[in-house]
Amino acid sequence: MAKKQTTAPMIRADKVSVGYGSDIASAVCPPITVNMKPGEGLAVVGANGTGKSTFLRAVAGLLDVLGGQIDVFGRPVDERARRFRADVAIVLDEDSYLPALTVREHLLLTARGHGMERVSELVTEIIEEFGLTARQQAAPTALSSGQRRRLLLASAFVRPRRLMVLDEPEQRLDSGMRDRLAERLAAERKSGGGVVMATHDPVLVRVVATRAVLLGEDEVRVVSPEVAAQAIEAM
Amino acid sequence: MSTTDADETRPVEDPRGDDDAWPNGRQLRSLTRDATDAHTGGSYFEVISEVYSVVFSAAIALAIALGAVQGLNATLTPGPEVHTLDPTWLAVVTTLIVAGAIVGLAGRIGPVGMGGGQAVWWLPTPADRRGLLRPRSVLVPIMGAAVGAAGGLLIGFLALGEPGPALGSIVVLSTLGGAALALAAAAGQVQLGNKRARRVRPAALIGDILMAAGPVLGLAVVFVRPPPLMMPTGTVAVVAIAVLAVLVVALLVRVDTGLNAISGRELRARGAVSAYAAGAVTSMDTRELGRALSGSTAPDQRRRSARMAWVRGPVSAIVTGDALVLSRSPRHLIQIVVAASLALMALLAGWPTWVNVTTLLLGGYLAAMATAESARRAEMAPVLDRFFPISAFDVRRVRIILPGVIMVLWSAGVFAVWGATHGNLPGWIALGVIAAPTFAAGVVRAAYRKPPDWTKPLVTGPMGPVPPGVLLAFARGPDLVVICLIPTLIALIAFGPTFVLVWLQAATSAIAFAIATHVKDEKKPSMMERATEAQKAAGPR
Repeated sequence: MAKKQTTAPMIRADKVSVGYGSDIASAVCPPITVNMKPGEGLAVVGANGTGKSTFLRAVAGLLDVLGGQIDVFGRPVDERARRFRADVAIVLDEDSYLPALTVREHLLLTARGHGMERVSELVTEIIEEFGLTARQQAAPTALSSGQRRRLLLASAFVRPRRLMVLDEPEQRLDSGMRDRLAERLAAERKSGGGVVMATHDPVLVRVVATRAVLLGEDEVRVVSPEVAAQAIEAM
Repeated sequence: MSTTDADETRPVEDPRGDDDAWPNGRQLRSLTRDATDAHTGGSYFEVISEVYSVVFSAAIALAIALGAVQGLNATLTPGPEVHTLDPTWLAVVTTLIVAGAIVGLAGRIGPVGMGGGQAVWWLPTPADRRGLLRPRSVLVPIMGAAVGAAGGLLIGFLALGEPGPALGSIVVLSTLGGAALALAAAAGQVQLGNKRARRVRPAALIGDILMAAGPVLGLAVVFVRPPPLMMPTGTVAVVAIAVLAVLVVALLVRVDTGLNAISGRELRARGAVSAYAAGAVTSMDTRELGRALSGSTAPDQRRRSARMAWVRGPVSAIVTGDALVLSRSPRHLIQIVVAASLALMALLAGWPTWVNVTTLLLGGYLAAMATAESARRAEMAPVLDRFFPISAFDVRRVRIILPGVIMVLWSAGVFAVWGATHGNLPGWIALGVIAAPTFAAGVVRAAYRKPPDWTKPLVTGPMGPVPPGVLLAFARGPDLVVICLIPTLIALIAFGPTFVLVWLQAATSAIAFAIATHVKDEKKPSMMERATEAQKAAGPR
């Protein structure tokens, strides 16, 4: 018997206000309403300071919303819960690693910690895909900032996940790696996973996203990827 | 031929003109200082007032320490015990620790570095590095000499118990010794120059080894009981002072002539560490200071990756990560051994019970701190705690496993020696093993504490204004250890490991565990996350 396909939203944001203050007046953008189903890619687009990363932090459960409600997989966001951590792979814009462990050890530990099979082969594949083969025995402190970014992105692909939350994944990557990442994320979406990302890269939006949230100072619009990509190019 | 091609073939005119028209390092420093003075508007009286406050506070602190050390000298006069530690040997132990601190600190923070705006604006200019760096290179021996002088006073009073010519010799020797050690670290930095840095900075490693050698030597002296040392006086002292003075001058010349050889990368890296450490000292945040000094000391560390085939699921992954971090940090491994040596030295030297209890508590906390590096790093980068499919509550509980195991072994050893000297060996070992998780809980609680809160109003006390938020931050962790070890403290001081006290300790250890693993419902961004967010909002695209 075939597994029942669910069309329930992965993310349901209902009039969500986000910001770093304590009340609605400190919201950094107008309220956001958007749903995202499995197999969709949602790009969050806007100029600097319009709240892209802040919204992603709220989706990732790292920031309380000032108003409205965000549900992920049908439940209010709680990043402290085991199930949330098992389902959602998060890569934000921060360097997070243990300096004593090598690149390969970080990925081995992540994969084994998530109970993956064929871990050694899987890690070797991912390391190759992200162009880290020559540096796999190095400590993260010895990597360039772009290589550290690749390591963080690789750690999201070496584990099981249903939803990926990525904050400007294109940052510090060369153009070849950006293209490969776009293809990888598109494949992720097509295989039924969800991808929500804040980005300034029109190519990433066109290849990965199926819809986009365009954040402005006065209004928030849900638009097509093409409109969002053009908006980025016009910024 | 296109216009572009024509432009490319035309000789490029050097826009800099005559090299002599550019300021040298010294002039550039002078220009920057004048510009800064013009904007800040600070008066010389303010500078004098601040210097006076610092010197006055340091003098009072030193006077208090000297009084305590003089009293310690009288207390430690050798008695009839089988094992004892003569004050002159304790002075040697202290000398090794102070020397290790100077060398280790100098090796980690540079000692010559350039951070912040100066690194951005000065280093790319054609100004000579020697002219730019000379004030810093002069500051190195001055700081070393100041630490050496203060240490010399303490060591001299500890060994002799009273002022005299020998005390003068010790102070002069340690002052010159401090300057020589700091300069030797700087000379090592110059020697490395532009070469590919080695895996471990030699000065940092030598400093760690010296610091470890102190308590280990003390423990050896307790067992061997050698005769008291003769303090250097007369000709010996004069010759030693002359040799050290020549060494200081030679090192000063070596460092000064080699300043141009230090690479910009090295200057930036060391400058960043010193700026981080200075910020931590200014905000009185010891956790941040530890992070600043335990940052990577080598730019290209490579090692063979472990296969980690034994890891199955999130719990073993986290414990394995913690164990690898500890096993690859020589400084923390040394810290555990040093802490045990301290506790055992005080115990075996026949010192008063209150000294033994104090060193046991301090040693236990020091050892436990060495095991919680991963938890401290996870507090700084919370993503490390969110990597695995395990709840926040469980992550905190798992983070206690490694410190708990290490402290069980540590406590079993130290309490076994206590039992061997006081009787009832099994009872003391049982009490030590049951008390061990409290140390682990304390350091994990301290690792996840918030940064010091400077927003609360100062409270005026007899020693001056006190920031309560800072004190609360420092107390988080040690508070749990002291309160939840009360049954053990009562056993150590008065009743021994009675059945009731062992059970009470089991209960308070459980309470400590519960408090340390409690996770608040907070979703506020960490300091690093806020800084990143602000940078992104401000930065151009």
